Amino acid sequence: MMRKDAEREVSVHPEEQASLGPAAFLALRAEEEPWLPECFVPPPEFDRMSDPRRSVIIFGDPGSGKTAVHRMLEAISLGTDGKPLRLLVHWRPALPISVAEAGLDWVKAMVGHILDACADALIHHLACYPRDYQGAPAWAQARFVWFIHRHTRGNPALRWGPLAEGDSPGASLVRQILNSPADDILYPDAHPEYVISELVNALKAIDMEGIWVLTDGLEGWAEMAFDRLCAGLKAFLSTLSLFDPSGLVYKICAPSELEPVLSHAGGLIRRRVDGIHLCWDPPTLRQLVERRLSFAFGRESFPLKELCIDSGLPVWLEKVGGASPREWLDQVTGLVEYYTTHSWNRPIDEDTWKRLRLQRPPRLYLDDERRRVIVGGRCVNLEDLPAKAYEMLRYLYQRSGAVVTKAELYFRIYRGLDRIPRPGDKEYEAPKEYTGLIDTNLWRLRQAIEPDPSAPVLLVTRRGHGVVLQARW
Amino acid sequence: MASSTPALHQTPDSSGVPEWLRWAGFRFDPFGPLDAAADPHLSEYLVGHEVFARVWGDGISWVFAPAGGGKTALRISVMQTCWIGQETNRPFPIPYVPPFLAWGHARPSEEEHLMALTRSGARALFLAMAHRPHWFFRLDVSERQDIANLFQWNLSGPLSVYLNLCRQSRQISPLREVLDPTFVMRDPPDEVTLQQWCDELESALAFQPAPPPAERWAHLLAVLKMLGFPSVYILADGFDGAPETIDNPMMIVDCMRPLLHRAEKWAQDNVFLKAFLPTETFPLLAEQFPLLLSDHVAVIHWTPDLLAEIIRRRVYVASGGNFGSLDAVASPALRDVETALARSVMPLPREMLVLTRQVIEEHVRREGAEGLLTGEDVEAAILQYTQGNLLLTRTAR
Amino acid sequence: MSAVQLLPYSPRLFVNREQELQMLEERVQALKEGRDGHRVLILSGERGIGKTWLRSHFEHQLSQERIPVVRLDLKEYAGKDPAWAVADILQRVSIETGGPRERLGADLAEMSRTVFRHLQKFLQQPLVVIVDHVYESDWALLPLLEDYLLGPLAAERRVLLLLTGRGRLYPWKNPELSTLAVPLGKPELEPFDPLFTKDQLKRQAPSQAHRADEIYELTGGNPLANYLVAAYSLDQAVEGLLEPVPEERRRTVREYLEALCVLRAFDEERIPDMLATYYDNDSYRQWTYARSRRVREELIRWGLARWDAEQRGYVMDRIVRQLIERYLQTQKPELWRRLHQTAYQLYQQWANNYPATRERWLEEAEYHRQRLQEYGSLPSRSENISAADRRIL
Repeated sequence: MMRKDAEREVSVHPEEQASLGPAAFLALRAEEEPWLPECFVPPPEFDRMSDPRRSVIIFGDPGSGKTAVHRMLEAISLGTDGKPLRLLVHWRPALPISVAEAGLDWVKAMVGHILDACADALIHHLACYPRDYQGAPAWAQARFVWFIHRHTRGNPALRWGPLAEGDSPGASLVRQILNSPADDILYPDAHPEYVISELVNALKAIDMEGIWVLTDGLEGWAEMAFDRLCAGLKAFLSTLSLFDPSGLVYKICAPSELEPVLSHAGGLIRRRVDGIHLCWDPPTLRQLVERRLSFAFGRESFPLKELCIDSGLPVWLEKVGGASPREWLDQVTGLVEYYTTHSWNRPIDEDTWKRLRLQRPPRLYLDDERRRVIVGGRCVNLEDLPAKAYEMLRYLYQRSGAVVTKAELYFRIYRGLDRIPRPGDKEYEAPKEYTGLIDTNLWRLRQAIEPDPSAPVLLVTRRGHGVVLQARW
Repeated sequence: MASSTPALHQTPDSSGVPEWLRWAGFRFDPFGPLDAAADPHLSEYLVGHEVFARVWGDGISWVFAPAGGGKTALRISVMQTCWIGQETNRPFPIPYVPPFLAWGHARPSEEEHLMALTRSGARALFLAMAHRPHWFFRLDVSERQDIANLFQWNLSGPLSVYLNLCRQSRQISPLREVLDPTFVMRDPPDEVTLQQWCDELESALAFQPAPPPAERWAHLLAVLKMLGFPSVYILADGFDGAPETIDNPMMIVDCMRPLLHRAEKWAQDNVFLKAFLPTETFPLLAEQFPLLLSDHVAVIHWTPDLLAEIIRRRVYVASGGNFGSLDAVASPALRDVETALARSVMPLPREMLVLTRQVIEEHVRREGAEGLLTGEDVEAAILQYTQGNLLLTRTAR
Repeated sequence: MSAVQLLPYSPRLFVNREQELQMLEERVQALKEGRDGHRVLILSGERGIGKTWLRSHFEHQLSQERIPVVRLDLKEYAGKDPAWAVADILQRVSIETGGPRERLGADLAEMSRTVFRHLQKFLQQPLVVIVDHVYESDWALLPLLEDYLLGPLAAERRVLLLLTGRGRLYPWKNPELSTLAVPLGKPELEPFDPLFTKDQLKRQAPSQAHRADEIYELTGGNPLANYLVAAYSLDQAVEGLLEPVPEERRRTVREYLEALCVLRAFDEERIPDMLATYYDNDSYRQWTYARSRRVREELIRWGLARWDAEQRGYVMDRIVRQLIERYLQTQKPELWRRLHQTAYQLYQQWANNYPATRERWLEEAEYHRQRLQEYGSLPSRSENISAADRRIL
């Protein structure tokens, strides 16, 4: 059903579609693509991710589409009239001061933050849809007022003053709520679980299906304070009462580096929370690319073969893009630009595509620490690569885009010299002595990193000059 | 809130599974509601379980099971059994899940435990009484006042808040939603009787200041006795529900200690602790509280045979006793389906249910909502299950 | 064929069951003295095993001790609306225990409360409640009956509850009715041994008592079958066993049973082949699963078959199967042979087609081969189990 919801969003006005063109491929960042819901293709298991009653943590690599999923979870929470079906609450956990601090006390503080975020979302909802409040039974109204007063951190009047003075349809209602005395619905020491239940119950009275707490954007903290973030989230996911059926569920998008640690969290082991690794299969990714093409060009459908005649394109996309939607789209971007500017309505031929491939090779990143290279959406382990070949790659990577001669590679890497000797120098050797060695290692490198070693796009030979590593990141 | 095992895969069901189940002769889906509390047939599945017999009855009792091993289901089943009938001639169950989140720590004092227990008991009694107002109507004035005070002091909010909710919504379900969604009792009263109960209960309130925790607990027990309950069962569960206790059996024992010190004395007053704990706590408790653990101990160890039996039992109940195994709806090429599945899952009942449902989903995906299950369905499901649970299996290893 | 008359209970004609009666007596004694213990007893067993006679004898003894008994026969409520049925039962219980005769309440809950409120006074003395044909009853009736009568009764310390029935055990929610209930028997009521069979015949059919050993060999000691075989022809004895089936369905049900009786276990996959052979009509082989299921469901409904965990299939009531197969074997030997032959071929085919379960089906095929061999009707050479398959077995 959720998948259907997602698909429903695809319908879009033809004129709007036609106007977007290649811009649909420019940013490749979900947060900068306001039209995303219109061309979204749900990943496998999206049904489970969007199960209205289940908390879920979605692990994904960079470019795997976590933010797109996050945005789609928002999108499917809106009715056809754009009105929210549930209260959407955006929350990002604060970091515990230290790993040792990540316990119940910290979780309790986080729940305070979540309740505050709920109050924020609630008052904004009421400001947009004051009739919801006006049509609610008295007991539900009393709960809204109580919740906003009791669970807003700081002074509600100060905090929501701008909203009360703004031009939203419910500004006067916000003023009324802020000025109303809040009845004691629950005692101040009531357990947070009961507070949530009261709010959910009142939301149901205005036809909202409960609360989704959405979390995304944890990459920065994972990079900055990995251990503390892991410890905090693990404690959170091990506080089981948070995941009791109450009408409030968590949808957390997290970088996949956290997966090994968080999969040990009690909530996941006990299946209170579903852990889903975001992964895509080639047919779905192809569908995703074609859906975006059709959206960009305002067509009913846009098969890949209408973009490029060469039947090798899907194979190439699979090889380069791996399981990453971003990389699949990235590899199509150059073609889309060319298609728009040079060959409107005519599929691009094979030679042109190969030329474009060279102009826009897959992105490449050398992860020296783990001795691996990421090429497009593929991760290539280089553990088995001979040491000197790996050093050559590192050398080339540090000089990405610059032409490096074979002599330079030989004397720098193999001989460890800091300059290239000239004929007559003591260390000098004639090219025929080392060319074969360097060529062999270049061959090995291409076998390892090139999507198609017979037609290199990353490690390119400049005949008579040397080689260049086209690293684009 | 009385924590319970939550729902699993309660996705909106467009899978075709319900249609296949109907075709195969099931009266309802016995593999769908994995939320023990939400499963109306829970008692029917569980009562045959020999562990149940150890838990049921007047006496301190212990159930040790692995995480996800059915403790909560058993606890809820005991609770539901207590609520059978219209009268107070069965034990009164207090579902006790320590409110870690409210405490913010996992080393509660005796007073904190008593307070939480009293609140749990008051909530349970309030909900039960809302379903059985005649328990209240037959009381005299001072007894009514005792009850009203109990609620006023120990519910999460003022009594009038709950009574107004009940009055305005004209039904009990919103009360259940906010107090304990796992609470199940048949035969709620009609609207008029409910209204009358709200009014008479509210008018019995005397607005006295709340006494200290120990007195409030004693007051609860006195009220229960006055209502005629022959005994009280404290159904203690969820002690492993905090980050500090989830992987730390010693911490669980420490957390329980104040209760354990009281358990024997309580038993003399017909208040029986019934604890549902992770298996790892068993040796620690047996060493530190040998007398308490001398009897009524059940350790659940999930063997493939037992897991297979879970499915057979569910099949039996859901088919109206017509058949007791998926073999009855499997092709002759496939026999002993349950054992094949039981050997492929993590040894936990919930996992077994997930895999069984997966078999049916695979069948429906491949052949539609009719037809006998095949070996291919089972193989595909096991493959799917194993792949889909890498995260968990890795943890389990 | 003259109609079969079943022998009504008479204390004079009653034999055996000392252990069960002793157990009942002990529970009654405990009830009188207010001692704790199991207060729910279950009396179950195959058709004709003597449940009704044992229950009647127990009632007879209770009447001599002046212990009040309420007996409910759920058979009377077959096909009735479950809520109406429970209301009627509550009304009867109320009347028989000195409660109001009418206006018990607006709904079942209120009726139940009224009954139990009045029952409290009645329970100054022990009360025995006997519920007959429990397990044959509709599963829509039993949950209501449990909630409003049996569950609350089981919690009363001065009530002894005896549940009798045959067929599918019902998954009660109340532990007193399931886990804590005690079966009378091991766990079901067992057939008589040869001595008791003889004793029974001496009292019930004295002219046939000399045939006791022969009868025992045929019936395995089932008391109803003992009597029927002694007093009637085999054909009539079968009719007597099928007495619980309504007359309008009895003939068809008997045909189904005759078609299936050679099988150790059956299911919807096996029913069409057996019926095709029985009726000598291949169109039965086209039966859908749903059509076959109706046959299976009907047999279960009358308590003539049940799912068997060990056989992993449905099995017929032991005595019914035994007598029907013997009837076929002696009266319609060619049909009996063809049915075994069909079963043999079916299992051979399955063994060939389904490698994963080959061993199991070969075992079944071998059973039928042996049955045919015992009576000199070996399957044709081409149908014999191969030597390789024998090795598997």
